[in-house]
Amino acid sequence: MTQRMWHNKEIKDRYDVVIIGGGAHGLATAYYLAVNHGITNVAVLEQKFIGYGGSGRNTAILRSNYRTEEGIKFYDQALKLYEDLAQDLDFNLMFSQMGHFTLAHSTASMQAQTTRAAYNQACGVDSYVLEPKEIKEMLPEIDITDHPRYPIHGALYHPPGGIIRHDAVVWAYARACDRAGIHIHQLTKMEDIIMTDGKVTGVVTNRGKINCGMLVSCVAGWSSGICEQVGVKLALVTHPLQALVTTAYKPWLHHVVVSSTLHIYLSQTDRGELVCGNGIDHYPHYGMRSTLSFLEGYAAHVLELFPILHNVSVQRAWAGLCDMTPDYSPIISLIDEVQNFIVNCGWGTWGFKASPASGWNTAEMVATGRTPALIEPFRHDRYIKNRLVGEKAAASVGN
Amino acid sequence: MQIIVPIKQVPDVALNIKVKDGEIVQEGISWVISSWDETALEAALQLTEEAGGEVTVLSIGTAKVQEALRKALALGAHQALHIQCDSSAGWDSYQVAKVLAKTLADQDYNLIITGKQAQDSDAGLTPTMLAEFLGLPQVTNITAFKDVSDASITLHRKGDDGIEISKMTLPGVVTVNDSLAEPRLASMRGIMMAKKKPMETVDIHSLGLAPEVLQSGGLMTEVVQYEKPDERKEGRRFEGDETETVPEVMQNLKKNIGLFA
Repeated sequence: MTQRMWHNKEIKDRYDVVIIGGGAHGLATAYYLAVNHGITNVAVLEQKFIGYGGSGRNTAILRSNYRTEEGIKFYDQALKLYEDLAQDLDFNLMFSQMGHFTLAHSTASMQAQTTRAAYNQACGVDSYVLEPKEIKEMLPEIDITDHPRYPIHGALYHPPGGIIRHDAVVWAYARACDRAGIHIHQLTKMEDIIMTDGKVTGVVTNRGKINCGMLVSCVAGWSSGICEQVGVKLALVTHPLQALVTTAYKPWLHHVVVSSTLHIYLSQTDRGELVCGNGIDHYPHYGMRSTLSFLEGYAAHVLELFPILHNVSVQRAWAGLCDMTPDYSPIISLIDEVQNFIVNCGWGTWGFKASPASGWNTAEMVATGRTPALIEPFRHDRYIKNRLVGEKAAASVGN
Repeated sequence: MQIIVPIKQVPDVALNIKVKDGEIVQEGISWVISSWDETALEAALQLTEEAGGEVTVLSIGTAKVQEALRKALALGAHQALHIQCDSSAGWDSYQVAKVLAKTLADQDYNLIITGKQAQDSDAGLTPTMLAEFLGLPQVTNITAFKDVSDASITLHRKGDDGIEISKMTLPGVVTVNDSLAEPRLASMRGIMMAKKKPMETVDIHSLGLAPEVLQSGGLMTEVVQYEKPDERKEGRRFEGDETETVPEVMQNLKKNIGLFA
């Protein structure tokens, strides 16, 4: 008999908690509700299949070398949870802490990376600046001459950064949720939110009405539409982000390489493929199509760094949706105007790497009704109170 | 050897195609090169890599088809020709073949290679009509090329009863079966070089076609409406001990489908 990692179960009339969105954030929230707080009468609703959205479309890079104290501490918790996650979930997540380079192509960029290193070190995160010749020793194929249009001045190096198998993270959380008794309902689209006296009391789906004590939205790029239904306007703009994967080659790239000036990042998977991404498309859109202009731009820029890649073949390209916030930090927040509703969004291009910490803290917020100190800076009303958490300087690429 | 490869930009059938009120919903469609035309391009590239020469890709349509042409250039085609028109929606094979024939009438080439049919219409008529209008020999459904020269080519055709081997004088028209070659992937260098390769745009009205060819009067066939195939019914899973489930499956097949009756 086939052993399934998660099971289709009958939808119940009522759950204590309904989570919309079966990505890494939604599933992690459900998992930590069960294991940290003993709350298992939980349903995760996913309109397609689990991992269909950003969790299955990102480039699987993990790091915590952010710029602000708030961001560094939050992503450091995520990275530490990732380090133990394979053991916690009893699932091989293929986490390779191969080290992460953020290249600097100007004096100003070097100053920025030096500042980041200082902030990182002050918060206990391993991160330091390298000279071009040190970079060359670790990345022999990189061009550090003055021939490229943007010569390399140095880099911020972050040893604990790396890559993980993103699908496996989703599958492992889903299996753990299933084992804890949490219901995962795929192909279940939320169509309406039921409100009574300013409180969320349930949802209407394509499979019927479900009552709930608490509703958590973890739908990333679709968050604006969900929140509009309860009268909450979010400071979000959704943009597509494209990525590509090449055919497989023998292992040669043993670190993650990012260049914000050239708008690219790349790493090599255990299978040998190069996984590559760049900045968001400049127009707000919900389309998840790859374009030739993205491939042209990426090819031009990556060949500046690694001329040896001129003959590599592009196997596949795709796009995902990014819910971009003005300060490049997420929103994990109770909503004052709407009771029994938590929004978890604003993950832009930095969401997957935050998944465990996002789930951990969102679950605590659900269980206690209070905002954990670590995510207090990411409240929804910070845009009204002008308390932005400016992480733009730490974005992988210059979005 | 100079080879012309006419390519058609079609909706990506790997994605969900929506039909509403008898029409295909254009919103959300992703456009790609018809897969058999990709095989035709691959065949042309292999031939020129072996025998020398150049490949010209050609497509008819709005500015949107330039993306397909640029992708073909990224794959290795040497130049592209875009026959610009306001819309080619609703055109039938006859109209397309007429436009291609007029475009190619004064071009210098040895071989025209196309896919055996388009991925969207599945008609397979355009190449045959094109050969007729140009007065050229043609062989369809090719699986292999041999003994290539500027004057002749040996072709392996997949027929109903096996492989037919024929020698064709050139210039001529061939259509390819997808078993001929696996289309290559674009390299980083190819993607970069595509931007620098020549792409000529020609206004369709400058070709000197009779006005009725481009109008609805020029149609020989017309698609009246589109319908989506019926959705497959949900399956049923038989779980439990095989000694119980196998007889149950057999009983269901007999009762509901009439098998083993």
